[in-house]
Amino acid sequence: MPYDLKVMVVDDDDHVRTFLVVLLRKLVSGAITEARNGSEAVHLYQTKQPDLVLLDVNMPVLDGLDALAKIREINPDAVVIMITSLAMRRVVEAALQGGACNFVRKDTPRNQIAEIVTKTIETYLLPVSQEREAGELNPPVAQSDTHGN
Amino acid sequence: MGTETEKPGDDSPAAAAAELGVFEIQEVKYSLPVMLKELQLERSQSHFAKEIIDQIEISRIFAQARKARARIKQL
Repeated sequence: MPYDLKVMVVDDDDHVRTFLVVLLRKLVSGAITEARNGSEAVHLYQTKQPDLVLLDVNMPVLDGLDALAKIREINPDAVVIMITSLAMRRVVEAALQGGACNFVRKDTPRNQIAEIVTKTIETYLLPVSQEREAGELNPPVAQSDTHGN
Repeated sequence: MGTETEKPGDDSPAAAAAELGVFEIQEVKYSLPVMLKELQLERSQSHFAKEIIDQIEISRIFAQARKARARIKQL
């Protein structure tokens, strides 16, 4: 069953974006937004507020690492998966320090990319949405009442 | 008189080095913080940083970070 999440795919290559959108359609049921560079991604992040971002590293105008920093400025809890065709250790470590939740090489087999995305959703997004749902169903005041406090 | 004579005796490497004005290292002390700093610098600047890593290694790096974050959260 697909997850009800909004996703944004950021890559300057149309083919890569299409590939990722097709893959994501099987995993999520929410809106999928596309951006062609880091600057567009930052702008769309503010307007669309996606739950998950797939962000390319090498892009014109504003690269992925700078875009990651700006997105994390907007939302420190943003869930971002970096994607790249050339995974240099320095870049991977910079992404990790910049707050990326995961990192995927573009030449990774499709099923493995799907697994990584699913694992990221389950680790970073499902606990949050479950907490949110629990909060909505049982507001803090009602919870303390049921416990007799 | 007037002729130079060879001095007999010490022809050890230390004496030869002293003669050439080269100091012989007697002891080396390493400072761990300095070494770690140098290692960090090397990792960020050298070929090590430019090393292309595969998806397994990437996943390992991120899994370690996740575990570390979870441990911090628990504390």
